[in-house]
Amino acid sequence: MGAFELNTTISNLRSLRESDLSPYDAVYLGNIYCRIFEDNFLERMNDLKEGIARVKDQGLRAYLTSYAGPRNDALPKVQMALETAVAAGADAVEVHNLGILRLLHEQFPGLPAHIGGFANVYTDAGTEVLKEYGAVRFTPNYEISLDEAEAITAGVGIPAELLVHGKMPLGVSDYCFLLEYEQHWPEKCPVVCQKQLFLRQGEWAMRSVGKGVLSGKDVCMLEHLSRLLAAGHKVFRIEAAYETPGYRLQIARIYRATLERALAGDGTVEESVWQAIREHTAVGLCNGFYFGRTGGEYIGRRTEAAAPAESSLFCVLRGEQ
Amino acid sequence: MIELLAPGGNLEMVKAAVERGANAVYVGARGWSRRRDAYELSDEQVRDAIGIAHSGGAKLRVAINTNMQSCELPALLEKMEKFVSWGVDGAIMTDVGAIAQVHRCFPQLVIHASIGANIVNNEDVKFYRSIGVSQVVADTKLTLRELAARKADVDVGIEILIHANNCYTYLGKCWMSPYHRLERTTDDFGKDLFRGSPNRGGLDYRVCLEQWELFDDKALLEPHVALKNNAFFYLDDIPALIDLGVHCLKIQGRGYPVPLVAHIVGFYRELIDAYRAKPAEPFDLTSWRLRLEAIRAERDSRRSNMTLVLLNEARQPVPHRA
Amino acid sequence: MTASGHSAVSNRGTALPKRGAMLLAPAGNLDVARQAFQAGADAVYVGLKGWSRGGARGEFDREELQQCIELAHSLRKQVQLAANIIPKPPERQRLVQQLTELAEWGLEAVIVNDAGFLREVRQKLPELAITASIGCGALNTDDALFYQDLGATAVVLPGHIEPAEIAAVKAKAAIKVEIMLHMVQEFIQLGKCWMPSYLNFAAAERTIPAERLGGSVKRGGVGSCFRICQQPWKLLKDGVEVDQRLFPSWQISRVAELGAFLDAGVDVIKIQGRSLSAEAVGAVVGMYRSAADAWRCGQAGVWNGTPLPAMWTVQGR
Repeated sequence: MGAFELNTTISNLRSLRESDLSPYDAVYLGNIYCRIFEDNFLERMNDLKEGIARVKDQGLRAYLTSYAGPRNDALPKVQMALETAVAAGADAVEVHNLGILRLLHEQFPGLPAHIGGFANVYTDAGTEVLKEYGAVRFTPNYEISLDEAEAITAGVGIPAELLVHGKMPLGVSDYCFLLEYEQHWPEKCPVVCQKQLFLRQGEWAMRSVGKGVLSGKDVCMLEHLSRLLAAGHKVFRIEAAYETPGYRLQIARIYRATLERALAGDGTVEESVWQAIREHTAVGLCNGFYFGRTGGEYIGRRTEAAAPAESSLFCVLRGEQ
Repeated sequence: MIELLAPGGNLEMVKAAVERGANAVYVGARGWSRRRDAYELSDEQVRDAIGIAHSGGAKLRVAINTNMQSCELPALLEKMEKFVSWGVDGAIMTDVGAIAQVHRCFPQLVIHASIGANIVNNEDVKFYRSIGVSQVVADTKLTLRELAARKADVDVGIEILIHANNCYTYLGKCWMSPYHRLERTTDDFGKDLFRGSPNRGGLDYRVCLEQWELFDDKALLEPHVALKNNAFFYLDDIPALIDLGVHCLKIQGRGYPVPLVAHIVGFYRELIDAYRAKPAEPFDLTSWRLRLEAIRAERDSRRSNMTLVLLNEARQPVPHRA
Repeated sequence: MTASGHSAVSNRGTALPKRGAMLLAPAGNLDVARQAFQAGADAVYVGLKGWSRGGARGEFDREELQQCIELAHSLRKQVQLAANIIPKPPERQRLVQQLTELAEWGLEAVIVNDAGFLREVRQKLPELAITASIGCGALNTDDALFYQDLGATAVVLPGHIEPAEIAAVKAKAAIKVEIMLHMVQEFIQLGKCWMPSYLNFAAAERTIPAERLGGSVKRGGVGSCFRICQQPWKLLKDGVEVDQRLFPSWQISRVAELGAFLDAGVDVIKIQGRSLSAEAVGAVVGMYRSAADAWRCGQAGVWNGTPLPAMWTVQGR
């Protein structure tokens, strides 16, 4: 690894082809929420093989991800995906489910495990157990603070992967909420969950992806990257699976540039990037969990940046009421 | 013989549950279980609960099933030491690290994996078995077929929630509530209560049950949508579950009034006994269905009231911590 | 746990009304399945290319089937696979293999048409719920018990059976009882007709490349039933033509009596028609859903007695 790793998740081959990955160091392939997400890498072995090759050809690391809530009948396909990943030279597998971790450890011990955010890592003792099962890095559960995450990295000796920008996963289901409503809409499954769909009530907002819920606000740690680097963190995630290729590219460019500045000793954030940040958020910014607060809060100096742009639908609707 | 497990939100409830025929009761250690602290017991009360249960011929389990902080694990082990010395029959837990440590320190203690562990496939079960768990609470979304497969494939005790709720999300895999409101308060014993986080403190604001508007980047699509979160009672499946040979039927409800819980426990006690008494004859559920409707009506009304209270609390600003 | 799988276990002969039956709709493709679910079906039954009666129209390939299973699960609903051809001996292994793989994908139920094959599937795939298809020709309690002994989880009865007969079966047998209330009632009982292959076996013998052998209607031949009964036949007496007619065949849809069937304890209301359009299936399912919901609320049937438009019938295919 270089001085840091900036990574993201991409659900299918089409998104991969559409995306400019130049600011990234690694990509996770697959959609963790739903087996029938359009052309999910996790269900299409030829696509997965091609996807891994494409990522590696660009000089990036290719990781496989896996389902957040896999039932028994998903396991054979998971097995197949792991076999494909090994054969295609994937660098690691992200696991959100401890059963899959076990499977990985027993049958593919050569493939390192990255523990994902849905695996509910909260304690150092828990992470120790997962390390025995082959974990080489972990994403702390999104609720825990930086202090708590650092207690784990210090105690267990494996690095944390931190979500620095993007909508935070808030929950996962086996039931697709959108299927109840799609009959009224022109878009149907498997396209409907790719629409920008928000649940809103007053100031509250969340993004629905059918079988999962994401935060309405985008996590943003841009102002705190120096602190993260100083604490020894090196692996940073940009969640953009349900965002546009433009988001995926521009946000990553901003973070890459800011991280490189920080490493060179300049801990400031370029003023011009805030415009782009605000344009890429519908509801606003947040990072409260990292600081031991309500998840939707924003801690930082640029609190005005945390509010959505005037043109966003939220402001428009609020104005109408 | 199948075990009927009842909730103990306070000592009165423990007593009532034992009297109405529960084979086991579970209580939460204050600050450490997946319920708000009002429905949990102090250490001394846990001791009393063990006494009440045992003298009534029932087992007593303690729930320490939140995902606590790393720094809190030593305190947890001290607490468990007390409970074990007082004769507690088992612990209900979620955190992988806490389970591993408790099992290492108290290898004879029966550990039950809570619903919060979100164990959904047979490999999950095997993982938790490997760290010391001997019984698992089945996720409420599992089908009878999956339960049968679990029973056939893995050597583990299976507990089924027969009165609980079916969240939109998988239980344990949801932090919508603390995203909207998290209040960090410390109780008199130094335990952070994480009000608002079901995983960390037990108090959940049920934000899923808010009346949400659904819209895309252009317009409002649906004025009123719901993320399903329904409370249920199992009835039609009880015979099948008994026949399947699951270990335990579990009733949730530490937050309900004692008479209601007593009613529910008594109902299921009679149902289980009646079914087991006449295995060869056709089992008519009609009268049971009617009885359950009355109980359901009261439960629903209590639950709705509580939901409104919680949603209201969730809108209050968080007091500033010094 | 009994060998017949989960479903039989829960049916200790509860002879009194259940909370409503499963509404099972046909789906010829994924769009129809989606429509059926939205209209209120609890489950759909579909065919896998080459392995169901009715031929290539209205069958899924493996990928579509997988997506359909996942769609159903996303709605907490069910998919049943109609594997209701009678496989020739060399084909049986291949079909069992297919079913095994599909069960791993999450398929929970299969519909079969042959007693021997049913028993084999039961032995090899103890987790799978197995329905004895309408083509098995079951009509009475002893038939139901026969299929129950073989290991079937459910048996389908034709729509002309009366509620009292359903109740009689339910009183003696633990097997689930399905009734096809919406179907074309043909001159010859479903499953007992091999007129087409008698008349033109060669046409039915085309093979599906790399999948399976062709054959008669019951073997699911491509081209399948070419509706011999619906060609005008001349009736000759002493060599003289006295009449010209079609074999009688009519659409039934007993939604008006749904309450009586539900009272009798039927487990599944089945709708025929994998060749129907999404719109048609949606409409029929919606009608049965409303009637079933009304029954649950204690109201009489909501069906207003309007006869079905011809386009809704399989006969119109």
